[in-house]
Amino acid sequence: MGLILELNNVNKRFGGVVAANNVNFEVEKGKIKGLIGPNGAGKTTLLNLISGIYDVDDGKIIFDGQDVTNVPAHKRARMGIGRTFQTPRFLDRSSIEDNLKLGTDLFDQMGYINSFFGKKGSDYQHELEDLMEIVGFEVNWDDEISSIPYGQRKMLEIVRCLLSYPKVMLVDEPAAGLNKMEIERVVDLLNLGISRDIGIVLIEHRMDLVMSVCSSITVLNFGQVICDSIPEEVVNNEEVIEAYLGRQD
Amino acid sequence: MLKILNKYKWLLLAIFSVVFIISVPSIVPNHYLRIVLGNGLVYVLAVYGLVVMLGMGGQVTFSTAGMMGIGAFLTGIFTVKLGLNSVLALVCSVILTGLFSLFIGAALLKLRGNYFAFASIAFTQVLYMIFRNWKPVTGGPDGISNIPALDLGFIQLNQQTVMEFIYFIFGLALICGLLLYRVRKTSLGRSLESVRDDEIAANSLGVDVYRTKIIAFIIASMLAALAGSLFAFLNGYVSSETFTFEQAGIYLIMAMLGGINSTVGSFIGTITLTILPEVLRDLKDYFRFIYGIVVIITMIFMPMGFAGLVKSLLTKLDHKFKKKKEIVTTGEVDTNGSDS
Amino acid sequence: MILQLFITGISMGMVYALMAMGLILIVKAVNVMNFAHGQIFMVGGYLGYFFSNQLGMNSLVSFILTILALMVFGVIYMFTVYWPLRNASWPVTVTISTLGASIALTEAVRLIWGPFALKVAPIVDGSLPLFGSKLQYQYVFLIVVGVVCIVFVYNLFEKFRVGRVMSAATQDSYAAELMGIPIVLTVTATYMISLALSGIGGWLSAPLFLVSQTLGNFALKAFAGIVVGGFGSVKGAVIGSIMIGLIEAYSIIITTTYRDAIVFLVLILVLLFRPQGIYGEEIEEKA
Ligand SMILES: Nc1ncnc2c1ncn2[C@@H]1O[C@H](COP(=O)(O)OP(=O)(O)O)[C@@H](O)[C@H]1O
Ligand SMILES: [Mg+2]
Repeated sequence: MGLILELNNVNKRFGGVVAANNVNFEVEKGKIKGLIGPNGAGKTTLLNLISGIYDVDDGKIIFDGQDVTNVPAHKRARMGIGRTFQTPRFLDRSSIEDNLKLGTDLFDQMGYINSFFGKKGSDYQHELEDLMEIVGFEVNWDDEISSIPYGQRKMLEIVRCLLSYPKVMLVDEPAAGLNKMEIERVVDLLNLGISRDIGIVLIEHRMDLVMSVCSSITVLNFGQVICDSIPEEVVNNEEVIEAYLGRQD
Repeated sequence: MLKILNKYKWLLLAIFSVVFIISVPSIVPNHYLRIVLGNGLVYVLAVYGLVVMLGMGGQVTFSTAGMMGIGAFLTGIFTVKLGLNSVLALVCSVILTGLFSLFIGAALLKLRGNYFAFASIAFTQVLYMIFRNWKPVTGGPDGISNIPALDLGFIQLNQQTVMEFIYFIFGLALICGLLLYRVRKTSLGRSLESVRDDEIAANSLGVDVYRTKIIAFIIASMLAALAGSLFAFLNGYVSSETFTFEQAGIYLIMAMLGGINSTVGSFIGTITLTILPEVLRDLKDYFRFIYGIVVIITMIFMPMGFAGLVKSLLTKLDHKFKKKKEIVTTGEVDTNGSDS
Repeated sequence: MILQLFITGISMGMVYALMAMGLILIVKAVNVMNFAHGQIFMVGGYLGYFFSNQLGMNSLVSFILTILALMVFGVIYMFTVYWPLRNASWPVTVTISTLGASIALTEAVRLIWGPFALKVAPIVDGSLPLFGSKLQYQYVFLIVVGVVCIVFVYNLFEKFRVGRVMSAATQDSYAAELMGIPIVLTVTATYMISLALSGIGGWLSAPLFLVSQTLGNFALKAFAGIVVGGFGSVKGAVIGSIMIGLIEAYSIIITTTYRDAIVFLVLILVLLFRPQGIYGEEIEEKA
């Protein structure tokens, strides 16, 4: 099996809150790993630790055979750890085009000087057309990104990530706030990722979605992994059921 | 409208440049006003630095005055005290300031947002103290005078040849403006915008935030130094009083009133704000008061400055135009029966 | 000599602290740096001159009128320089509008009272002989009033419920609306208090210096105090400002020409080695 990302006994606390407690976690190439758990379980924190936005207190992060625990976030991104955010993060005062080109910039990595002197990068336009066909809507590229609806922004964030050809793609609640049609498009985007052999981590609350696309699922509660298995077993795991039911009262 | 403007922007720029070159001598007939205009063009270069730092990179900086001072005093020292060739002095001033700003930037840009702004205030203040008090080197309160002309070989640029000097700086401003335009369209521009709008997003897109800010700071500092050096040649004289914290604030205002996101806008804003006090001399005592009030009002009603106003007007026109067109064409769409 | 420097240092520190507290209150409330704060300080000095010297009022009346005038002005200032820009997509527009305000205020004062420095009669005359040198009562008075103001504001904002509700309200508008406090009220009150504090500083120090438009530059020292003390806490601002006052006073032993430069060098050093200041703490940004 092609392991691409591995977390060994990762810990992170914020003051008194333990957001990651001895977490072990593995992601394989070309597979979707589900990451579920109640609100505040530490899912987003885990993505932040993997992408380097937060430093781990303790433990190791191995990416593509290399220890990246102390590698700064932007270098991890250049190594191939791409991500989206729970609420999309864009350059609010820039055009949609500039926003998406940042994805291609990340893939090209040609440096400011080369770019300034007009070195040809990858075929942004062509790449983008393919991806826009999947998402199935059109935008005015010169508009500010804040002028388009939330759902479209969420999808464009995945598009931006795919433009950078990451090896691992971390996707934080891509379906939240999207309608049924849009969710299907998101699944198409994820499938494209799989066809490119990207290892995907998917945080999602919609169980039907998680169950249908993930090849394995990790369940977090209070920063701790309480279950790590194939979808069928996860739904029948008692601890998991308890964690979810316990939240409801 | 916006599209048309975009399509013909190079033509428009060329027309503007030609009109500027032809009409300046007659529009600005007297020697004194020409020197003022020359200085305005010098400020444009410094303000371009802010377009990079603030407009693209989102970093409020008061370092412009300090860096400009270094460029100016280095030029004064090189030419008057060391007798260096004037062009060489200009080049050396800009490069040395660039090197210096690499170190300053590396230190100060570890700080973020407001902290960086404060550090840049402190930087400009410390430099001001040095300019004003280090008598053997900067001439202290007297400054450095008798700076020779900028000798380009075929022409000597100083106050006597102010028209030629104006053309020369205008040419430089044009070139620098085009370079900025290019920066905006390439990965440095986009990286800077990501630093400006969302450092976390920038990081996750592989942008080295710290390094990118330093690069912007160096560009801004070198532009300021170029402005400082030209200031020294144009006025034949440098003094600490030109490089104060207040002046740094004025540059920020010039950039904002013209339009922080626009090279052309900041050009127009800077020239207007330099010339206006001279044209409105009748207001004399009241001018600066009105100026302050106008700054506030402008920020409220056109926060993106002159350029932003033009852009939003054109966009509005576009929308009106589009709506009319839609009304005309809806019939066609219906008969086609398309459902998108 | 050493003792005298100490007194000067502390009293200048008090003046800076009054300004710094006002600045920090606005920063905490609306995250805006008021670059016209030094000009408010200057206006305080001129109002002192106006009430005490021009109208010949006694010091207490002059003091109270100065505070009232600045509170009223605080309302006007808030609604013109800040409020219309509170939702601007470029936060720097507020910074620029305060820069505009600083120019307008300087010029307004020049138009009213002329460009020349004015002398203000001391509030309390005389001096106390102390270890061979003299201690002017004016300094003692300044320190006492300064301490009273600082204690008052500190308690208002950090201890009493009113202050806590106020600062909570401005920081979390949603929660505030739940509590039924209109944001506009708390922000207005903050500006009133902030401007009054700075004005008191100007009023108190007017007799020590000549009153002129250059008084506006004093704010730079208050900025320095805020950063040295730690951005974001009233306590830090006060302690930092007093340190700046002392550093400035004692630096005269080393150099007279570079006094100001030393203050700003200290500022840069603090920024480099302890950017969060003495009382600040580092915060991890939330993703
Ligand atoms: N930057 C931070 N500072 C303090 N606490 C944080 C921070 N980020 C996350 N937390 C805390 O860590 C816990 C896990 O949060 P998060 O990872 O966002 O949960 P999830 O994404 O599973 O809903 C929560 O209790 C949250 O409050
Ligand atoms: Mg989350």
